[in-house]
Amino acid sequence: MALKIFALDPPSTPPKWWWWLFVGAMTAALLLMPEYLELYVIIDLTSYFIFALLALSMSFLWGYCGVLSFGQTAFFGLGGYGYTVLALNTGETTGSIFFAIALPMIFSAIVGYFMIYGRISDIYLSVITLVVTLILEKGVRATSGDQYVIGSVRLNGQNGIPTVPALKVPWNTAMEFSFEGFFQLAVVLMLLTYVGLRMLLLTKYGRVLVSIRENERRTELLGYDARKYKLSAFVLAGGIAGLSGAMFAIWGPLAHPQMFGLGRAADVIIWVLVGGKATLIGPIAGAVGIEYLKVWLGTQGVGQVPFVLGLVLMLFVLLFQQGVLPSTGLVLAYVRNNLSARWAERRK
Amino acid sequence: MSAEDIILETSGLEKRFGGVRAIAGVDFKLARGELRCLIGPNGAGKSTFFKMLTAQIKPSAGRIFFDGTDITHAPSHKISRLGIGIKNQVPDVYDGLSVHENLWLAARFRHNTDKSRQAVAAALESLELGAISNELVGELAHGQRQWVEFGMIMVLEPRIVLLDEPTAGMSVEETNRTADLIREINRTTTIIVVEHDMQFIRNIAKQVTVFHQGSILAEDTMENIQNNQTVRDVYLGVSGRA
Repeated sequence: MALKIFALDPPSTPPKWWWWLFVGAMTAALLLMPEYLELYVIIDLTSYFIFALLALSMSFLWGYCGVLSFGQTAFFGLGGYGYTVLALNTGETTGSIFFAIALPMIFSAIVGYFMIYGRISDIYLSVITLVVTLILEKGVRATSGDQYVIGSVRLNGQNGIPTVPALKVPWNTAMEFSFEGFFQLAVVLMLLTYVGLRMLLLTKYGRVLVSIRENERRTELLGYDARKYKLSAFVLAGGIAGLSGAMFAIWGPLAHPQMFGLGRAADVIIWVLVGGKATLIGPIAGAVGIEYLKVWLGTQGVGQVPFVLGLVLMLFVLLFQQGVLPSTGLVLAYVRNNLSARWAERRK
Repeated sequence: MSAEDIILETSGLEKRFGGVRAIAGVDFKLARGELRCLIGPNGAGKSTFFKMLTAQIKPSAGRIFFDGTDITHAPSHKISRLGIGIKNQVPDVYDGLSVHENLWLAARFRHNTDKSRQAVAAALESLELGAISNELVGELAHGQRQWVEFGMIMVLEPRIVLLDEPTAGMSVEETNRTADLIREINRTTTIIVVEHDMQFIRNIAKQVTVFHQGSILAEDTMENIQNNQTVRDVYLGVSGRA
């Protein structure tokens, strides 16, 4: 029973027609939102969808390849700082976005090479990635002095860089993205990543990744070089996290050491666990839902937001181990089977 | 046997665990197309020997040649690429994936998309797993899981197959079916089987190698091995001699 859950976003089966319908309807609904919602809601939602991108990078790596990188925030932060520093120096924003994807990919390739080709076990990989992100956080926090300058940009240590340039429209660099336009961009990037990863998991590459999650040694005995697959997945996830970081810095507009921090790193885990790590749509729902919950709790004057989040996480780990969406799917399947059985009974 | 008939050879193969010599300088030769059984009492070193042949543990000394290539230090994934199919004692399958996906992952490594589809279909047919091809392997009976693994090895079309206690935990009926399968695979492929079950070995074996205290004690046909006094002493203990 427990194993059946992987059938929710089954990696090797092409999506049915209703999945395309769902994605299409979702795209249309989200893109039209600015027409109907208040601006402050749109701005909040933008950050949720940017986080969803980060959640996707984690669930792809953890849920499908079985590699728990506790420090996806390292690449998130590098993306944010990479974009900010380059865009401030050059004034060119579209190129800086690509740089914000490439920089974390190069960094993750180096870190990942030593961890994965060094045959470090999965648990140590989690610890090392966490340490890497914390080192980056401490490192960036220590750059308050005016000797820490890249090009013409001061890194500002604890205070972060508040002057992150807004994204210019690539085909018309005289114009910046409006709040609505930026929201739509975040939606499009998230959905493209979602669909792209879903398609990737249909390919031989994706199916081998899943087999590594299931039984890495078997995959090696079949002849696949698991290390190559794991490293490439790690680098791809790093790139997605970097994109998310750049978008988040633009949204702020702030590149801050907290992007690397333990709090953010834990958030990613919570989104993915609560949403359901063996699915792609679940972590999107997890990121949006948890971030909404956080903001809502804040406005209710609860004061102990991390405490409540901890309770939510414990509840899910204990009761709904597969995450909210797969669990709902299970309940629905159960109800459906029951109903159809009862229906068959009555027809007799 | 002439040199080009040898598919697998070890020379002076040795494995030490601390002060213990689990394998003490084994020279072993296997001819193409053979079905060879490795037997021996517990702790004789046959499993250690098996694990070294399949690159799951590294030898302390000596070399292993597969078809003339030195594979002593080859990593796991290279072993398979050379055409060596491995089945460990515990079913080593993807429990969370369907029977079909298990076979497909193996087939796709060796073939292109179209040929993979054919190879999977053929394997499902010959293993009689067609009816359950969409079930998760983790939910199948032990014997069926073993056969899924047989299927994965078959679609890889290896040049040699190494099996570690393939019938462990199987019912008599399943054991007989496995013996049939092994004979069928042997029609095109060289096979090494490590086994405990003497009944099963009598059923399939042509040549038998007996391990004792990390060395080869005897190597002969099953019939001669059964009549070999030294082998009987090892298995029953000298005091057991009537």
